[in-house]
Amino acid sequence: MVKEIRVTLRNAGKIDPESIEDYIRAGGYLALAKAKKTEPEKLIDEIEHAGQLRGRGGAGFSTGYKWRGAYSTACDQKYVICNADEGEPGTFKDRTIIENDPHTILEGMLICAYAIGAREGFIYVRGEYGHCIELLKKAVADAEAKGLTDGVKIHVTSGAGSYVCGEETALLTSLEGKRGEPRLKPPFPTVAGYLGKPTVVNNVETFATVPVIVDKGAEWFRKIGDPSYPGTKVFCLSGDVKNKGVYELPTDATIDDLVNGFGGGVIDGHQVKAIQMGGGSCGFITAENMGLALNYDALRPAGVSLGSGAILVLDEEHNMAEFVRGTSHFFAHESCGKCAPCREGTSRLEEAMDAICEGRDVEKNIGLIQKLAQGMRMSCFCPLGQGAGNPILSALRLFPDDFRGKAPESAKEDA
Amino acid sequence: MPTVHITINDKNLTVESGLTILQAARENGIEIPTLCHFEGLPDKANCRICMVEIEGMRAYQPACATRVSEGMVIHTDSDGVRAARKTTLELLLANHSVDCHHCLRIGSTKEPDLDPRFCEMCFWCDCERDGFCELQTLARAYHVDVLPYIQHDKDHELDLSLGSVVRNPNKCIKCRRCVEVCGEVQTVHNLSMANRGRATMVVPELGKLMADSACVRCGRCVEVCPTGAVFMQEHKDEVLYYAHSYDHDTVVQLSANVIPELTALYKVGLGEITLKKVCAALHKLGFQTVMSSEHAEKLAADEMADTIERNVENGPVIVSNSFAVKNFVKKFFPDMEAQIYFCKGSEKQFAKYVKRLEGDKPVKSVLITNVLEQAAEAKEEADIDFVLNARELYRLFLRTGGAPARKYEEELDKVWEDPPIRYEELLREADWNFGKEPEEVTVTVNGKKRKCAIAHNLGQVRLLLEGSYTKYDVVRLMA
Amino acid sequence: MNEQILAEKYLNGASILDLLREVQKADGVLTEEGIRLVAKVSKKYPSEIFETATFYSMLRVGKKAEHEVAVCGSTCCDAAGAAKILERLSAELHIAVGEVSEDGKWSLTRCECLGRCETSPNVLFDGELLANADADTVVARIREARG
Repeated sequence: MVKEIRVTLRNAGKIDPESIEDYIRAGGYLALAKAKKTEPEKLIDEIEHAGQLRGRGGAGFSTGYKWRGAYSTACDQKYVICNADEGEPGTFKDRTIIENDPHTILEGMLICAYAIGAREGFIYVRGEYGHCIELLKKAVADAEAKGLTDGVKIHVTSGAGSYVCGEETALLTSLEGKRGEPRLKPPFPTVAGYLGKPTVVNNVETFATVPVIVDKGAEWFRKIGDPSYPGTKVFCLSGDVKNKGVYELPTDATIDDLVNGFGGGVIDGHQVKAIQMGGGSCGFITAENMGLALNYDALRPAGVSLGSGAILVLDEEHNMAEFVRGTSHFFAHESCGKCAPCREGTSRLEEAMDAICEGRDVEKNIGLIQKLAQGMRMSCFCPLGQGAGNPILSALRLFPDDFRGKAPESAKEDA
Repeated sequence: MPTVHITINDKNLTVESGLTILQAARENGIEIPTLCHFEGLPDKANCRICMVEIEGMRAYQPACATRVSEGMVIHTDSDGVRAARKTTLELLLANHSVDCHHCLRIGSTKEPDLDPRFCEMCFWCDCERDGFCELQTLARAYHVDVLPYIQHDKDHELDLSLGSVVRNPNKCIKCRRCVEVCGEVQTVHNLSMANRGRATMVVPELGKLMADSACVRCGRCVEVCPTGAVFMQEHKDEVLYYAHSYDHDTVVQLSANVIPELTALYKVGLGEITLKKVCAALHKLGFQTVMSSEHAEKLAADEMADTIERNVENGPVIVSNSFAVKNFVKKFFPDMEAQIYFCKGSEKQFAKYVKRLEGDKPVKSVLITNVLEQAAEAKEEADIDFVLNARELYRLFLRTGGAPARKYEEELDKVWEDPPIRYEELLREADWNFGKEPEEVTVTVNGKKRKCAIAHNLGQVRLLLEGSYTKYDVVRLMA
Repeated sequence: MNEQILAEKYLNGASILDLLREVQKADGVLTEEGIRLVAKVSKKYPSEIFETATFYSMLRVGKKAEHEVAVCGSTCCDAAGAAKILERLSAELHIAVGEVSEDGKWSLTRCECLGRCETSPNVLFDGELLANADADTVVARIREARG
């Protein structure tokens, strides 16, 4: 069985997250010092060479490419922003990283700031994570007191309850004090981001990985995991498993390794019915696909993605129609209201799922969902709307009986 | 000029680089439907109607906001694109109070050739935008006749508090044109978005009623609204009552500024509708006296010219005869109110002289103009009984069958001699535009060349009043 | 809320969301005055701040009620039956949790930990702490205030 390799979570449980001394004793801020002796361009090469350290937030975009974009855009003011607006249902890895090791995020950000030439940065923390905000503020203050920030001002700020703000352009508008609605791309944030200035937005996990890559080198990092998506990934295992929690695994580990190995398998007497891969907006797999490796390329044939790394295991007692009904409520509540298909469509998906679960016009509503989900996937402004139908369609494909079995008992007897 | 090669619907085109797909297509005679797009306002790509298929891209892209690039292969009318547009339209219409859909003729798959003008005759469709609503036109084009959803169409109350600008949130499709115009162009920042998701709506400042809000009654939101979500209170029925009444005389002042929009609404060629034909149609409806607004406009310009001549030697003269500017100054520049010469607008001149026409019967005055702020002023300051704009006039004609294009020309009634025209460049009736910078003109007043500025929207008014007015001898403010 | 303190925070890099949170913490809800204050401090238009304030689920725009009842709903109080108290008060006041009554007299909210977990459940009645509260006592207080 594969072993857990702790890169991002290397200090978790070993150091006191409130103590900068502890972090430094564990080798912290050496990578920053090393980075500063390197030419920014070389540094970005290194990050890019780390097998395109692909962003750990969910989209899997190359981190080096983003940095290069911001680096090569000439501007007197640039920003580095850490996306800690972890709102994807089933995801709690960012919180775990912040709670255990806030300084590694800060170090990653400072390295980025040096590489792209930014003098100011923000950590945008989910509004619900009050204690994380305090931890990060203390970490920033401690690093400033030790002169480690070298004049780079990092602000810790937070959202106020909006899922869509996890999308990078929506995060930027929110940070500017506006409604957290996504913006048109292009221009991309690396060209015109926060206040129209070049901005790098990376996920907590991405920044937490940066110091290790700088410290140990891209070559070392590339040797871990699957070559298409090298390194490790932090997974959040939840649902009906024995050992729920956060696990950092190389990207060639399989779902089986995670669920049955680290997770200790499904709770006694039950079996896997479905696994939602990547978070609330993602599709499902069944037990037969558990041999797939945990990286984008391996998962693609099964029609799922890695997303934010949330792995939710459901046992046979769950009705999938009921489950995705909950998801549809979530999206209707979180749609920002900017674009028409999402604003209207998410609540229509909700209505249709309510109807199905109450056994009303099941076939008609299934047809409606299929048409609507297709329209939304092609037309919506941002991934929220585009993906809102995904879990429903996936559940419908894998477990059609769960939807059709919802006709009221009386109706069945009549038939 | 650098160019790129693109393919739209199998047509190979060479177009200027930097254009949007929408611009490139329209330049080449390819029509792409739009809804939130409005010429002159920045594109927000909210409505997702102009979506097109670009080969190699996973999702459809908005034509209004996507720029052409070399080798792009675009399909603007494929089955998939049409289906996606129809889905979006169904969603919009299901959350829209469809007052024009009762007979299911609009967008009907069964009666594809039905002339929408015919619908006007049945008196059931009572939306103020019926016949020229952009959503209705699209619904017809995409045959949206059965909505697969539960209708949510009467969730909100109408805001009739102003009596002039009326808001019906049930018809709002959240395209945000009005928000953009109110905030970015007019810089009033009254209309704004509230809530999120399904509950998203456009509301006046801080969710208040229009009468309690920061609204300055410029009426520009009405001009840009694609549906009937913001409109000017209509008086069609009352106007007709008085036109037909034997106990009243009706005097109409008709402004030439309604002609272009009437021509567009009737979809006829330029020159087919003239002031004289409209005059004939109005006489036919029973309006006794129909005068051109020229006389009142000249009187208004004359008053401004006098004011300028009297005061130009004492530093910058700021003149305005706009109701909305007056409200705007009161709200945002109260300290400058005393410094600005507010003259009577043409509507007030009309109200003044119409009194002199009173004979045995009471006179009802009707102002026909496309300047919407005048309607609000008439309502609030009650000089004039009714104000009609081009749209209402159009609906009035449709209801009564008085199409002006089919009429013979009739001379307008003339009562008094006009005053001479002075400083036409500066005091002419000018258009509203989206520009950021005020227009500059040079005019000779009292024998000396004077540097003048004309503000064509409230944003420019703000810019001038914030300080740059001092650079000029004469400043004219319009909303 | 003090304008000067707020302005200072804004100058020191606090975002508009931070300011709104501050004001809400002080007033319980974002009132018209609160929104205008944030607009003034951040040199924006009130309508722009309103747009932002109505977007986020953790911000609440509304009027301040004459009487405010807040029930702590955090872990300890929840375990001690906060939900039951909320249910009973909601029925007594005829408003849902998080709402203000139509006449503007009463508001009922579920608040976060008050730090008095040893006396849970805790209820704040117009700012006064009712420790070891039970629904009957709070209802009695409500009826007393109604007169």
